[in-house]
Amino acid sequence: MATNLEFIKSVTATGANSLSIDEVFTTDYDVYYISLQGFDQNSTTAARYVYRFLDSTGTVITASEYDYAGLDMRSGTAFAERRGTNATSMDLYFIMDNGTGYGGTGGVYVYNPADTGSYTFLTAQTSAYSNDTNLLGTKAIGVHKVAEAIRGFNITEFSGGAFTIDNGKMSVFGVK
Amino acid sequence: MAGSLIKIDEEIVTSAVASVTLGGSDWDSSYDVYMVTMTGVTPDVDKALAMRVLAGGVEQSTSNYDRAYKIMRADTTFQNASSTNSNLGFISSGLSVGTDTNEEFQTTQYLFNFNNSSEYSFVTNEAVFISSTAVAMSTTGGLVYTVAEAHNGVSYFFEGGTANIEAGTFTLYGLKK
Repeated sequence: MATNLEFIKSVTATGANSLSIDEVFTTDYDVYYISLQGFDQNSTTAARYVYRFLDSTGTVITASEYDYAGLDMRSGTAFAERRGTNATSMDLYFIMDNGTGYGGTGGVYVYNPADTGSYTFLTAQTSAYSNDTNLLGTKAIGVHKVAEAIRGFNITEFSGGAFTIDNGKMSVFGVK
Repeated sequence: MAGSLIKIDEEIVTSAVASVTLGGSDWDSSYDVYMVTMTGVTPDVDKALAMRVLAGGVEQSTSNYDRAYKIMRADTTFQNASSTNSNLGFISSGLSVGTDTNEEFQTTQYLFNFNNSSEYSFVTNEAVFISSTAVAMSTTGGLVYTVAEAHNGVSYFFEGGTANIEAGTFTLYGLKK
């Protein structure tokens, strides 16, 4: 019965404003872990990146199908709450810039993505440092509220193109 | 040395049961830390999900459970939820999980000190679920059973004794040293 956290796939940033990891969620696992390592972008202006899923054709889902909630915990200013319903993304404040030593890291659990009969859920926690926020930790949840098969995960810069991801690695593991 | 996540026990519910037990006779005491995942957990009546620890395979129902959570929700201001000296450990923190389609509960928990008879047993919980009011929510925080004794498992159930677990997958792992 013994088994492991099983590595599935990694992708690295290519200088685009978005990074996807596709064809990683299957019926082989109920729970997946995604690690977000060493992310930063091309500007000293801090920018935040939103989460989305990829549908069964590999297309990023941008319809108003997400609910989310998250707590921002900042070292220099007050904590803040993020929430939304029927949103086009999960805007959970994964934030970064390209200051020396700065960047974003985190981990995401995804539940039941390949199940065509249920919604897809995630929990996330991130730790990042930027010139805007200093240290910013997040604890967050999200739900994609359509019962369909999900096969991948995407992060995209919130404003839609101004900032590119210059560094970063996204890895997916199955929790068997 | 590479670590590993080792599956110890798994229960898949496809028809209604009053509770689910992980460990007990299947418990492997060779780990310091355990992880539990739950997916697709649903009740047959709108109720809150709870748990208890096992000692010698027996569910412990003394009033020694404390809990503290941040309730994050998609619809309105977040809340704090806490209690002391309860006879069960809420993991949806008193919030009912729904019975409608797609109103499901998922979580990842870590269990600490279960094999240490000199320390309390602690549980961290990061849940995401759709409540009985159709709101996406999370209970992020943890609970503790304030009795210094060894524990060899956990049980999960919907509070009040009137609801069953209708579906869900419950899996217990050990974090290999």
